[in-house]
Amino acid sequence: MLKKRIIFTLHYDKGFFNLSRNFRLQKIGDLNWLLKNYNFLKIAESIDELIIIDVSRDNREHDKFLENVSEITKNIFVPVCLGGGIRTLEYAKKLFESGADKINLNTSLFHDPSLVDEISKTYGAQAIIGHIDFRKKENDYYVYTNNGAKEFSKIDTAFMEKILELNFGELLLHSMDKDGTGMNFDYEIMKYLPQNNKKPLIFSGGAGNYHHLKEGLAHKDIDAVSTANLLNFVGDGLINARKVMLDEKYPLAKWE
Amino acid sequence: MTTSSTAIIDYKMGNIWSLKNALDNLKIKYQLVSDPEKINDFSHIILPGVGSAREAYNRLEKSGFVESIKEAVLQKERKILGICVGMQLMGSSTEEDGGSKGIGFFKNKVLKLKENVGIKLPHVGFNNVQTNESVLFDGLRQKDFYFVHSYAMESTNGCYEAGITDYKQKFVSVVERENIFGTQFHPEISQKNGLILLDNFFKKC
Repeated sequence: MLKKRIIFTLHYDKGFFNLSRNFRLQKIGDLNWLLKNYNFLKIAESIDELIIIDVSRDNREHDKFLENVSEITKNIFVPVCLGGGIRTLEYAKKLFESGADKINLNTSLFHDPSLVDEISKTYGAQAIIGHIDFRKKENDYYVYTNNGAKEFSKIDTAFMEKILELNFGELLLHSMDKDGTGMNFDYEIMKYLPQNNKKPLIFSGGAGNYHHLKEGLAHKDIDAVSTANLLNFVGDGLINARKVMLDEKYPLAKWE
Repeated sequence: MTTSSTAIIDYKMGNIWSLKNALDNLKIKYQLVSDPEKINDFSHIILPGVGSAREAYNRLEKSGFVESIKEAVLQKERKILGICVGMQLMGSSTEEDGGSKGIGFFKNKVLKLKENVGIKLPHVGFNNVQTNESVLFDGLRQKDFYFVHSYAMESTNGCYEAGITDYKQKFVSVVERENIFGTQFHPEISQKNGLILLDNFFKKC
């Protein structure tokens, strides 16, 4: 049986790993901190997948980002998804050649959908995660691009259907309202997903404790949950959460 | 064959970075090989692959690797491990992307997974591999490995079908016959389970 996944997301900004709260960044530590003090390699033994996003708000330093990625991923043996500022096939290619098993497309998904086709032609649709940042305003939901800075469109089922037609493998839905709050995922967005959605769904934004992860994993339409909170699952937090869920027979992978 | 060492076939369709990390961790020596004549210099060969199987086969054929792989494996008994699309290429054909033939080590066809059984595609995540007698899976019976694919080898109940995986339909996830091995999943990104499997390939196969 296919298992569900727990994904860890790292937010990188010019040499630092950050806590993001409603998309406001707080520097927590650099690469040395992540590997030595935070003991990330140990945590990585309890996750199914790793996403690292360059969330730099202005000029992204691609080479420095990739140096950090390379140091992190060299001793991690799970799929790695890289993202942030992918606007060209050339940069996507560079990411695949620098350790990405998948890439995460957000802004380009809406502003340059032809890039999705270009990338999938070479690397396959399975290598692309389509990432939607969304926010609730009054009773409606809206998509945002450019690190949450630009409102792009109101969300309805027709909008979701159109996005899901693009040639990417998995859909990631990230709530900007819940981002970094630890106040649980926003499940209401799911009402806009078409009944016949065939793409695996990753739910993100708001997981503050293992009960939230459990609730997400128990949902029949959700295939993976992501947490980006560096502080909520500090130390053995995530390791123990996985152990508890395995004991309770949650469908998660077991490793030696 | 000079010493025990590994060739990773480099035909720009591979998931080479993660594979290199895994081999480095296991202290297994390897070289990226883009010249088909060279693969006979190695005891073990890895055929990686992501993306379109048809495109992968075309590239292998154009570069001369199809013939050199057949010679190395069938005549010189070099050990080969095909990973993901690398395993699919070992079948007789694939229907992906308009269709293509395969290297043909196994008579099985590679078909798109059936969607009408109520599944999402791609099949992505860790899934269980049921194995019986297998050198590759020594110490790894009924374990989980990481898959990401929409096409897979159909079963013909061949005795070389060493691993079967269930995604509301059964497909061949491992092939193993004498010196020829293939995994539909990615051992290099399957946590400790995958590292043990790669170590088995080099030390026990």
